Amino acid sequence: MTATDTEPAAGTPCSDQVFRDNLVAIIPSLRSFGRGLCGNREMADDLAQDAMMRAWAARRSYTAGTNFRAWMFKILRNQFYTTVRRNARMVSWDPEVAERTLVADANQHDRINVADVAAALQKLPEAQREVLMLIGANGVSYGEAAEIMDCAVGTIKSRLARARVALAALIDGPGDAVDAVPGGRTPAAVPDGGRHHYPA
Amino acid sequence: MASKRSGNEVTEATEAMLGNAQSGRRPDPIAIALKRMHSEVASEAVPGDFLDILAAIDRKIGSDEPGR
Repeated sequence: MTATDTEPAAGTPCSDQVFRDNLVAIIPSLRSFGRGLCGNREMADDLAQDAMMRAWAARRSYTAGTNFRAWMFKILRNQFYTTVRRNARMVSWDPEVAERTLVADANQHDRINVADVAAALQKLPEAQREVLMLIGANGVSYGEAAEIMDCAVGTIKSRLARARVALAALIDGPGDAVDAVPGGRTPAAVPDGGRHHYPA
Repeated sequence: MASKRSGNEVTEATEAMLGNAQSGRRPDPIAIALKRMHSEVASEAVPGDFLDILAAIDRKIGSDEPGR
């Protein structure tokens, strides 16, 4: 069940109880999105909790029948960038947590070690990391991602393509990157307009 | 933020990364790994801090009920 399944029809008020139920349903996605953005379990959970509290405080501004998931992701994302700006020297990647929580099936052909992907994600510009987590991990649409990231759908598609190539290059090395991307395009300019990296 | 979700877009975006049987495209191992990342986190028990927030919300909702 998605968060939107319990929403009332557009134009009707969203009761506190329905809003609360939507918050419960979105918790796993918030935690996952936050984890991918910052690579740190504790920080990700702080971001998710902060997003929940901000959303609750602003619940009267939420329009029933609109995209609750996108609304929540946007709140978390804004908080993430605020935190990044505040802590310019923060270290995000937590290899111990990754080792503990990300189980790999490295022996299987055509499978990529999940811990490698998680580590490589943190080396990408934030905008690329974000689009991979939104579409690749959380299954949001191009339109939703555009709404969340405040850009055009075309920008999302091109950014996603570049992000996939960049991630493949980080995981496999530039020579293997084409093989890791279906329809393998030649890696072009890898970093796109992403903002800044977390310094390691 | 007033736009609504489109189920077709979700399918398009997801299949573009994962591939599908109809298209005959090879599934993208990166997309599969990202999905597994999400599944790993989503399957974790929700930490107590989240439950505390929900409990506070429940108290607020309870206190706002008519007759209380």
